[in-house]
This record gives sequence, structure tokens and C-alpha cells, in this order.
Amino acid sequence: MNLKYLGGINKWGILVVGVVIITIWQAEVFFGNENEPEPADSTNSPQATLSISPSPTPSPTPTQTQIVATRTPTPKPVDARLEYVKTQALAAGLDAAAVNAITTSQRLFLPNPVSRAQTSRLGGNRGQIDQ
Amino acid sequence: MTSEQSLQKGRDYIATNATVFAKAETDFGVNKEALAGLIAIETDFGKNTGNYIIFNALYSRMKQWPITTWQSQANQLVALLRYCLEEKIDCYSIKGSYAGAFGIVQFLPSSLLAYGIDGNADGFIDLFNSIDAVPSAANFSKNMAGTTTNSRP
Repeated sequence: MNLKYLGGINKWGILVVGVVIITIWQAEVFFGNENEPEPADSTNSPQATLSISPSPTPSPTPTQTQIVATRTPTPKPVDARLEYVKTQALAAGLDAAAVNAITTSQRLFLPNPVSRAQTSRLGGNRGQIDQ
Repeated sequence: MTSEQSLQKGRDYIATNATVFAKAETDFGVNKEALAGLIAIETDFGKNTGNYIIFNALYSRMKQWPITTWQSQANQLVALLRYCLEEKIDCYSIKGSYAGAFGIVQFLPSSLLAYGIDGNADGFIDLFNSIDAVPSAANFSKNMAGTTTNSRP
């Protein structure tokens, strides 16, 4: 670059400013790396720590480390009416295991939303004999 | 109004099961035309016995019925459990109406336990077989005659 074409701008001034900028940049690169925290290891985050505090005196019996599940399973809602059926069936002398197998079967389901008006009728399939 | 076609179907059905109807008349004092009429109304002589798995149908009704009446359906489920376990049949294999009635004469499980007749003495009350269904219906009719309660099976 030929600085003589810069007109009134002092070429030494430009050089000084350039040196200052480069110096600051280098200093930032150097010191900045030292101050930055270590990149987090994604495989370890969040870290689960298991601390086992040693007992101060030796125990006469071997100690066991118990792993206790912190998340308890959501209890299945009790079907009170079905429980009534099971209770009555057992009271009638039916085999408990067999009753339990039927009432907990995967095949037990609400087949369709039968309306109250429909279900209020007793029995009968209506043969439709005159169609 | 009953059509001539239906009457003929009734005559044919009685003729086909003549022995069964005759024995039912003798044993229970219910005439065969009345029994045939009942079977015609309920399932068109066994043609429409229903396609609902009655255990699930009764369970649905029990779940959906109000607090004042659901126990009647629960008791039907108990009766059905008893029938299935005593006869050693799969509870989920019995199909019938949405109301839980099944067989040629559409008995509810409690009616089966109370009035079911093993017509052919094979140790199993099969309401899909006229040999058992007809005398069962006759027994039901005989016992319900003159009562003021609902007299449907």
C-alpha cells in the first residue's frame, strides 16, 4: 500500500492505531481462553453423583448399599364397581384366581358408548320377525 | 301384527323341534305356540342372537349406570362369572345383546342360573341349542306366570 496517497492522514498515526488494535486482539485471545470455563461434557450432564459416606467405625455386619427408586409408579385407579363384582364372586365361592384372571383380562373393555336410553331396556335382542 | 310368513316360520320351527316342544309342554305346562312366539320375538328363531361380548356389555352397563341401579348389572356379571367357571367356558366367548342377554331365548345370566334346564342331560346348559333353550324358556315362563315383575328372560 502506498501511503503517500492518503493525503492529510498521518501514516505514523495509522500504524500506531493498527498496532494498538492488534495488541488488544492478541491480548484478548490469550487471556480470554484462560478465563473461559471448560466446555460442558454433554454425556455427563446432568451428573448423577452417588456419595457413600464411610462409617467412622467398622461395622460388625456387612453394610448394604440400597438403591431406592425416587420415582414411584402411578397407582392404577381402583375400579370400585369391578371390585364389588370380584368381592361378590368370591363370596359366592368362585375360584379367586379364575375370577381375577377374567376381571383383569386385556379383553375386558367398554365395547361402545351405549346410551342410557338403550341400556335401560332389559334383555332381548328383538328378532324383527316381520321384516 | 304377525305375518303369515312369520306364522309359517313358527310352525316350521315347532315341527323341527317337535320332541323338545312336546316335552316342554308336558314338563312345564307351557304350550308350544307360546314358547315359539317367545323365541320368535327374542331372536327370530335363533337367527339374531346378538354380536356383543356379553361380559363387556354388562361391564359397560355397570360402569355407565347411575349409583342407584349399577348393582343389578354387577350381579349379572357375578352370575355370568359363575356360569362360565362352573361350565368351564370362556367368559369372553359368549355373544349376545347389548343388554347382556344371550342364546335363543335371550336369557340374562341370572335367569340362566335360576331357570336354565339341561334338556339333553349332557351336563352343560347351552342356550344356543334348542334342546336346552326351549325347556329353559318353559321353566322360566312357568315360574314367572302370574308375577307382577318384569317377565322377560
